[in-house]
Order: sequence, then C-alpha cells, then structure tokens
Amino acid sequence: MSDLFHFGSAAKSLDADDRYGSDGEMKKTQYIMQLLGFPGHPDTLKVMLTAAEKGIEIESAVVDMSTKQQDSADYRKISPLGIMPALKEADYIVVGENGTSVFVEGRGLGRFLAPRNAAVLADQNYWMDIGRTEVQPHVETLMQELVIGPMGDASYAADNAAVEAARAGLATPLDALDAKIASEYIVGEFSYVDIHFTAYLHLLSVIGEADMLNSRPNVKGWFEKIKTHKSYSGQDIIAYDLLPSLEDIKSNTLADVECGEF
Amino acid sequence: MFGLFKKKKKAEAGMKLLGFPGDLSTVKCLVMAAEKQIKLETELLDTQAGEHDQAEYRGLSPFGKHPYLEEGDAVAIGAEASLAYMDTRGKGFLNPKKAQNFGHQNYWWQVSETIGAPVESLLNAAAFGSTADADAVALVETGLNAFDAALTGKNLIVGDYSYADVHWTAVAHFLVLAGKQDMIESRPNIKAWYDKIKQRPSYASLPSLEDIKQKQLNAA
Repeated sequence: MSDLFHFGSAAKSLDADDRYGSDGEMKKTQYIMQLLGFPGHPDTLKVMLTAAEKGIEIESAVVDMSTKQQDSADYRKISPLGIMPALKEADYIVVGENGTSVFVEGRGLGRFLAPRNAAVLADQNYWMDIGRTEVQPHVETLMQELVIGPMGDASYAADNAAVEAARAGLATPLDALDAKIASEYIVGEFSYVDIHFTAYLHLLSVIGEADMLNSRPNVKGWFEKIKTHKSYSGQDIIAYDLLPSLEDIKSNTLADVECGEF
Repeated sequence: MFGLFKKKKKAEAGMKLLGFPGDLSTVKCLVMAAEKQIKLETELLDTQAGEHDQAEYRGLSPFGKHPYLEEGDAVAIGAEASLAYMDTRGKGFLNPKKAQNFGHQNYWWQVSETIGAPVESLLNAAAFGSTADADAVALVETGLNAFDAALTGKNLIVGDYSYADVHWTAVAHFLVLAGKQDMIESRPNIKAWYDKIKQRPSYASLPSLEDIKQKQLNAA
C-alpha cells in the first residue's frame, strides 16, 4: 500500500527550501491543498474551478481512470466507494465533488457561490440535480467510449450504440438549459451550477461535440462569458484556463491550481 | 389529480409537498420538515404507478424529478432543492459552520445518494414484491461499512445534527422497513447513532411499511 497523497510539497522534507511556506510567507491558508483526480472526469474539474474561483491553490495528481485506478486498494483506502476526486489539506481528507467543493469554498476568498435567497438556492440545486442525472451520465459515457476506453486499451472498440444514445440523451437537457439561460448566468447570479455546467460543456467541446453548445444560442453566449470570467477571489486568473485540453486528458495531465501572488 | 397544487390563493400559501412514501427523496423531505418545524401539506405522487412520467406531472417537473415542493410562487423540485429550500426557510440552519464538517457532511450525503437506488430497490421488494437489484446488498454493505467506521467515537455524523443525518435517517429507516434491520444492528456505531436518531421527534412522522403499501403519504 502506498500513500497516494505523498506528492508535490508533501513529498518534500519539512525544511526543504522550496517547500510551501519555507520563506515565512503565509497566504490566506496555512496549507496548500492536494487533489487526486482525473482530467477527463467532470467532478474533478468542478473542484478545480471552485478552487480557482475562491483563490485556493492546489497541487494535483492523477488517479488514472483509464486503468481503473479509482478501484485500486490504495485509492479505496482513501475513498471506500471509489468516489472521486479526493482532496487533502494537512491531515484533513474529503472525497467527492459535493464535499470538496464546500470545503474549498469555506477555506477560500470572495463571495459565497451558493445563493442566499431560498428560491434561488432551490433553483441552483434543481439545475445541479438535473446536471448530475440528465447530463453527467451521458458526458461520462461519451468520455469513456471516445477517450478513456482507448487510453487504457489501444484496441478498444467504442460502443457506437451507446455513443449515439448519449448524444441523443443530451438534446433534451441542453434544450432546457438553453431555455433556462435568460440572464447573465444560469440562475441569474454566478453560482455552483455554472461551475457544474462548465465542467460538462468543456468536456463535450474538447471531445468534438462543440456543436451541441454552438447550436444553442443562449448556451453558446453563456459559455463564451464563462471562458473570460475573472475569478471572484480577486486574483488575476480565469478559472476556465485551468481546464485540460484533449491532449492533456489523453496524456493524464492535470494542472495545479495556481493563483499568483497574494 | 394534484388538487392541492391547483390552489393558488397566496393568503394560504403554506408549504405543500407532492411525493411518494416509498421514495427516499420524499422521506428525506419529511425528516427535514419535522426537524425545521415546518408544517407541510402533502399529496401523493404515485411513482410506483409511474405518475411522475405522465404528462400532468411533467408539466410541473419536465424531467419527472420529485418530490415537488411549493410555497406561494416558489417551487423546489427534487430532494437537493427541496431540502435546501426548507433549511433556508425554517428554524436555524443545518449546514455546519466549520469547513471540515461541511465537507464531510456533503461527502456522507453523496455516499447516501450512491447507495440510494439499491436501498430503494430493497424497500420496493418488501413493499411491492418487486425483485431487488442483484448487487444491491453488496453495494449497500460497502457503504454501511464505511459509514460505521466514520461514526467511530462520534455522537452524530459531523458534530451537530446536519443534512448528513437527514439523508442517513431516510436510508436507515428504509433498510429497517425492508426487513434488513440486521444490516444496522450488526454495526455497533451505526446502531448507536440510529438509536439516537429514533428518539428524535422527526423520526415519529416517517411512513410505515403499511403506509407505503397503501400509498399513504401523511402530512408533516
């Protein structure tokens, strides 16, 4: 058994010169966070986006879903049900997008991402729920059949019926999203639900399904705005820029979240 | 159908819930309403008969997601939306203040969701004689083992009573109704937690197996 979180600054000796905090500088948090995730996995991208919005720096390492590393004994020691991603700060570990996102938010800077008004909060949660059940499974099917399957096995034959069913299954929820977007962001103000759909639509666009976005004018306009949306942390970064390209996914490359000097 | 939801008089705009007693999401809402001291009128949405897929309900909830909560002009659909709506409107807040506890609360919520469908399939087998998913028991066992380990030395799941307790109350209740009480009794930490949960007034309002068989959804 090995400690999957033993990487980045955690793998350096406590007195290493380039270790985080070694110059006596302390940013808004005492510890840098570590993330175990996969670049083709929507929930991993949601956490990275949340961190960038909140000015939280993260060192990332890959749990390779193309070889089912999320089912390995080492990862199951961290996450007994194999839920991804996993996040660590000092001796605290939390797993899954629901838990990691709110932890990052609680540690971070700037405005809260969850709406304060009960009806808007319910609207956000409804659309996150729609995303998880009506969009994410289809995105994951397309990722598996078109990208992740061939990564793990060069002779992988995509299940074309599953691919077509996934494409067809996305039409209704994306039409509904297009009808829903009537103002700047999905529920009016920027919220978690924008982060969720950014992750889904980014993955669709990098695997050659950008037509699904471009053919829906409100979705297209919203996505263009997301691509230039400056982090709410006040740092001069754009969260979207962190997201992996298709090449990054295929080469198992997951960016760190770096927020610049504070 | 759904007569309660056609009343639009603002003056009497209490909260109304359209749901099914054998639906985990509906039961989570009943727990939340009782915990938040919210008076909830209810009406049956017979998901067992596929009512959530029929045109009339799809007019309210285009993807068939349920339960459906309404208060005046405000609507919350599905457990995630409805629970947050009630938490914001009712007495106090259930989200922990400490980031670590908030993170773990949401993790345990996600685990409860991950084993939710198999738990419902076990309940449906007991209530309606349907066949439970083949791997239902194994997946639930994995989730319960992790939950039991996490409860070691804990009073409630993450400090004070939280959303995580709401989610797992519904899961534990369904397992008991499904005749799987031994899955709880055999795990000492879950048993101790469940014994505490059963003492809470919110537990008394949950549907019995007979209520579910009779498709009886009681007001909270």
